[in-house]
Amino acid sequence: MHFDLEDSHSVPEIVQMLRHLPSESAPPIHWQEFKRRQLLRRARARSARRRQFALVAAVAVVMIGAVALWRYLPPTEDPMAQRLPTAASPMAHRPIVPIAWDEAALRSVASERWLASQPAEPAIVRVGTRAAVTNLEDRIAWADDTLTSMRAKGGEADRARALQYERDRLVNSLAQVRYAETLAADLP
Amino acid sequence: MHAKYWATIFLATTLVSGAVRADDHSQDSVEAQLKAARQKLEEAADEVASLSAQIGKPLVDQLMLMGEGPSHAVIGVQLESNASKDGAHVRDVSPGGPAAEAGMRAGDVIVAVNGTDVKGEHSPAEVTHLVRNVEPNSKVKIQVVREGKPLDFEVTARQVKSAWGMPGMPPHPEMSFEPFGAGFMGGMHGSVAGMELATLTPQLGAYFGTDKGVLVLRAPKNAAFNLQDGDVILSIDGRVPTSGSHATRILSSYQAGEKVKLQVMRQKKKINVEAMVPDRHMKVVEPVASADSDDDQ
Repeated sequence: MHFDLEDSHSVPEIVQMLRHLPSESAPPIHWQEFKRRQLLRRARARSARRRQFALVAAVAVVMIGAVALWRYLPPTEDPMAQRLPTAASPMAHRPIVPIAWDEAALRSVASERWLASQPAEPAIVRVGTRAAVTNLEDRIAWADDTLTSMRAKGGEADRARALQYERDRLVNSLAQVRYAETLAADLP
Repeated sequence: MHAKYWATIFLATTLVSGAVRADDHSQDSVEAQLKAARQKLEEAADEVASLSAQIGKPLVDQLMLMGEGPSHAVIGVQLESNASKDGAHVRDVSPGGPAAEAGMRAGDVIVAVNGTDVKGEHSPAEVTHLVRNVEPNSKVKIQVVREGKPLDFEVTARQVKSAWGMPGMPPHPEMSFEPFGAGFMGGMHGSVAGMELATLTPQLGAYFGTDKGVLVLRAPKNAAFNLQDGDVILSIDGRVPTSGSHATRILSSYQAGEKVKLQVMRQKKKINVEAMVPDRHMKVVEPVASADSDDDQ
């Protein structure tokens, strides 16, 4: 049923029309029911907030506990370190060396390859630069013979590695000096 | 008409010659800059060598105290430490070292040194022992196996202690070591550093009247050793230089203040020249030159 509420209806008429509405419509909730539902809703909200607080607190406690354990428990093996060779491992002969040492070794391989492609000396030898070259060559030769001696004796692994590093650096320097010598020789 | 013609020619000639002179001047300037650049390049190379050596000083000091100092002859070979019954495996050959000069390569297997077999579990130690007992500058006969084939090499064991500027100085715990002190290498700056040498080929040797020695292409400006362009250095204190590098290495083995006797071929006549090895700032002792007969040596 549809009522067209216009200004033409008076209040008594509207009341009459309302009284003639069908009875199938569900009656609206009364005030007591409204208050009950409101209390229930608030209680649920409080409960949800408490659960959130509890969860945050639990996470914080777990993190603090983990940090405390990490700080105070004895250190365990570094997983990375476990992958590196140890004295007892089959890869023990491969030394653990700083990255700079590996880089020097790699560069020295390239330097040696380049040096091998060069003639023993330029056609015209300038004594000043050649003296620098022969000095480096002699040091490298001494380092190589000494490395053989140290390794044959054994027990000087750390010093041998350090000397190997110095040797590699000398080879790289030799390549640089010889490059400069080559450039100077090519100048008119 | 003729006057205008000649005036035009004169003006053009003046302009062209002026431009050429300016260009010559510019070329001179460029050449001077090039010369200066070359000198800087060589000085930088020298500095790289010197600084590279200084970096490793503490380690070398330690090794000297342990008796691993450069007092013995070396051949410039690094051997594998792993025991091998077939010989000592060459891990690396020093670039420019005696073994490399003789033709040895990484991967070679040393089986004998001066006729002594070094096959066995301690072959690297045996090679070290045998090489350390040879006289500096003596020939070491090394037999290797390369790709299954035997090869013989004659390696000249090299004395390298001068590379540390301390010839003849024994390692001593209480001694303040200065292994990287300035030796003759330091004295070469500005004195004989600019000297240019060339290895004598048979053809050049025939032209200069000798079959050995090193040709001086450019003598030192300040008359160190009283050398002249075109001289052939026949010997340095009795040691015969076989190449420019060898002559440099021999000269580098002297310390500042030491006397050096050179035998020189000049205009197909042998003369002896004596000089004191200069300090960093050259102070030449008046060289003593004396003519020798050709049959002296």
